[in-house]
This record gives sequence, structure tokens and C-alpha cells, in this order.
Amino acid sequence: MALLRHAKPLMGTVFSIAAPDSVTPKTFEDAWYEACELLRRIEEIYSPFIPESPVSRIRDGRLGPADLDWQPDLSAAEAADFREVLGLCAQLRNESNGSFDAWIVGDPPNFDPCGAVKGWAAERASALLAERGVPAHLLNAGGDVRLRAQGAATWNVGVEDPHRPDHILVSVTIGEGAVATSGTRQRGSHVWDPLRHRPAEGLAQVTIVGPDLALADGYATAALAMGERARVFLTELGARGPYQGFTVDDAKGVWWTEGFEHYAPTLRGLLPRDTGPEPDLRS
Amino acid sequence: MRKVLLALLLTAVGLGLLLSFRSRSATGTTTALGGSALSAGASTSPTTAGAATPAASASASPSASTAASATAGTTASAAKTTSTSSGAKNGTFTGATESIPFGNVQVQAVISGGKLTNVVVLQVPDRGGYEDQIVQVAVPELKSEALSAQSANIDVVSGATYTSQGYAESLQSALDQAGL
Repeated sequence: MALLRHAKPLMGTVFSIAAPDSVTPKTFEDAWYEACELLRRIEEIYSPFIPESPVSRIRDGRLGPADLDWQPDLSAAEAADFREVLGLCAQLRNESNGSFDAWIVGDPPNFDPCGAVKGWAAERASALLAERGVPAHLLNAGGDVRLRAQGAATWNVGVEDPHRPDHILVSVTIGEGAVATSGTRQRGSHVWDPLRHRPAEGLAQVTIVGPDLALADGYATAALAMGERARVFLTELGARGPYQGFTVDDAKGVWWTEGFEHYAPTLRGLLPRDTGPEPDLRS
Repeated sequence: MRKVLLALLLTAVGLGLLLSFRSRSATGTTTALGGSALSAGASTSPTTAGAATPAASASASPSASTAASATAGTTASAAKTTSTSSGAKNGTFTGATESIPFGNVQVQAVISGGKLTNVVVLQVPDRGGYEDQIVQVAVPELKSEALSAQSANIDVVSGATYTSQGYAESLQSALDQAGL
């Protein structure tokens, strides 16, 4: 089966879609157009680089979260969405014990929800695509992927090797869900550890698999900021729910939560984990 | 296999986080300040696979202010193609010229045996460090990503890499022609 596909620069990255050609090209084109319009609108609202955006107004004190309902450039539904994003940021801050904190991003620290918004926006766009007649698709938001499938169909998602960019480290098989990867390699240590007030170190890349891309992306970023403390966080996260992690450290060691093997059958039995040297998939 | 190729290549493309929210705006700013774009027609195309360079790849007028709407898909053309049993064509396919903040990007995809075997960069902007960034980092990376992924039965790559959206779109249009 062939795939229909498109790519569009949005939110500072490239969003691309692939869908089985069981839907008509017209349905596909129309749904993708609507999804892109939605993403464009979300970018207008949440970009801190657009001086008059609601997020910019929050950053410079012109807009308080309590006043979202009275803004001329926000519909009632968009104001409700905004509260949802604030709730998402709060949830990620709480669950990561402050390692992901949208309220103290950058220097000087200020509110910047971008780390949560991209995944949240992709979730919205993916839901819209399904609503508009494209129930099975892969939506790639610059390396963070939301997947939907019908029946028993699955997608194969390769996780790139941060130390060897031309290699796939492990393949994740998943029908419905999200795969998010955060890394330090390409942009240097761009992930800030807000608790230690320094760039994150220790981990080169974190991949999270789970149902929701906004949370998966946030957990991946938080774990990256935690560095060596990420194992405890990811182990607890994996023990209480569906979000499973896979990490690559600066010394090329890899580690994953037990539940991750459900999505990556090739990893099964490769441990013992925690009881010896970490396996190096590259050798 | 077609599915793998398509999804991958293009995703390898999309895969790339070129610029985060943050860095992309920085790029846009630079554009506004100084980026008179390269003349796209001026491409001296170093074709490797014997493809005549498409005179038809008339450039989209590279307006310097359209970073986000850089879907400047102009014409793209193919040369010397043959069909394979898989439906994908063999040959060299030249992608559309895509406008990016610093100029234009155009690539060529070489398909052999129904697979992408090489990506040739025909045009990149030559403004300061940007060329280095594209040529030395993004292009080799995407190329190898695309090449390795298609052999691994992978639909998409999750990763933290970044790339050029112009590169991605030009490659996409070349692959579309090849039927991959």
C-alpha cells in the first residue's frame, strides 16, 4: 500500500503527514489543509516571538491568566484551550518535580510554553485529521510523532542514534500513540536544568512512548534535564502508567524501562538491567 | 517498500527539527535584516548522474520575508527515467527550488533499483555560516538518515535532529516525481 503524504514548515519546524492511500486524495488534501490552518492559528497564539501574541502579553505582564476570557484576539474556545495548555504545563511541572517548568524558561527566566505546545498542537491536529476522514495516519512534528492506525495495523518508528546520526538505534512498533524524542546533540545543551541552574548533562537523548504526544514530549524534555536522575523518574513513570522511556547517555550507554520492551520487541531479553554493565546496542 | 521509502525519506526530512520555536524566529529576523536571496536561476548544477539540469526550474521569486510560507514549489523536472517493476522510476530527479530565509535550496535525488541512492545538492545559499550548516550538517545527515531508514523497514524516525525545511521540500518534490 502506498502512502499519501505532505510536509509543511510550521512552528519553527517541519510537520509532515503520511497516510495509507485508502482515503481519497481529496479527503486527504482537505483534512491536511485544515490541520495546517489549525497549527498556524496555534502558533499565532502561543509564539513568544510574535510581540502581540497572548503568550507575549503574559510574558511582559500585560495579560494575566485570569483575563483570558476578555481578549479580543481569543475566542471562547481558544481561551478554554489556553487554560488547558496552562494545566498541561502545571501537570508537567508537578510530575517532573520542577525539571520541566514552563514558567522559568530562558535567561532571564520567563513563561514560555513552547516545550509543551508543539506536542499538544500535534495532538489537536491529529484528532482533527481523524475527524475529517483520515483515521489512520502518522503525523511527524519535527521528530516527535503521533500515530493512528486502524485495526491491527502498526507503524514502525525508528529512534535515531544521537551518537551516530545515520543510524537507527532501535525500532518501536506501535499502532496508536506517540513517540517523542528530546536530545542535546544537535543544538548543544539547549535543555536547561532549572533545578540546578545549568544546562542539562549526562543524557544525550530521551525517547518516550505513550498515548499522548504532549505528555510524552514533556516527559522526554524533563528527563533530559534530569540527567542521571532520570532513571528514577522514568522508572516511577513507567510503573504507574503507559509512558515508557528509553535513554542514551553521553557515554553511549543505553537504558530503558521494562515496559518499553512492549513497544520494542528487539530489546526483549537484552538485559539484565541494573545488574551489570549497560548493554550497548551498537556493539 | 514504497511505503517505507516514502514515509522515511520525507520524514527524515520532517524529522529534522530544524529550528525550535526559538531559533526559527531568530532566522526570520535575520532574513528581514539582510537576506536578499540568491538568484535561483543562477544555479550551476553539478549534476552527477548525467541529468540535464532542468532549465525549467525557474525559481519562485525568492521573497525574503516568507520563511514560514516557503512552499515555493516551482517547477521540477526529471531526466532520464526508466520504470521498475515496483512502479518507482529509476533516474535522476531534480526537486523544486525552495525559498528559505537565506536564499534557495534545490536538491536532486538519484533513484536506482527503485531506491534512493544519492542526494545531490544543486543550490544552497552562500550567506555566511548558513551554507556550512546546511551542507556539512543537515544534508549529509538527512541523506544518510534517508538511506539507512529505507533499508530498515521503518516508517518514520523519531529524533532530535534538525534540518532545512527547504531541503526537505525540494527532496520531497524530487521523490514525488520518482514515484517513491
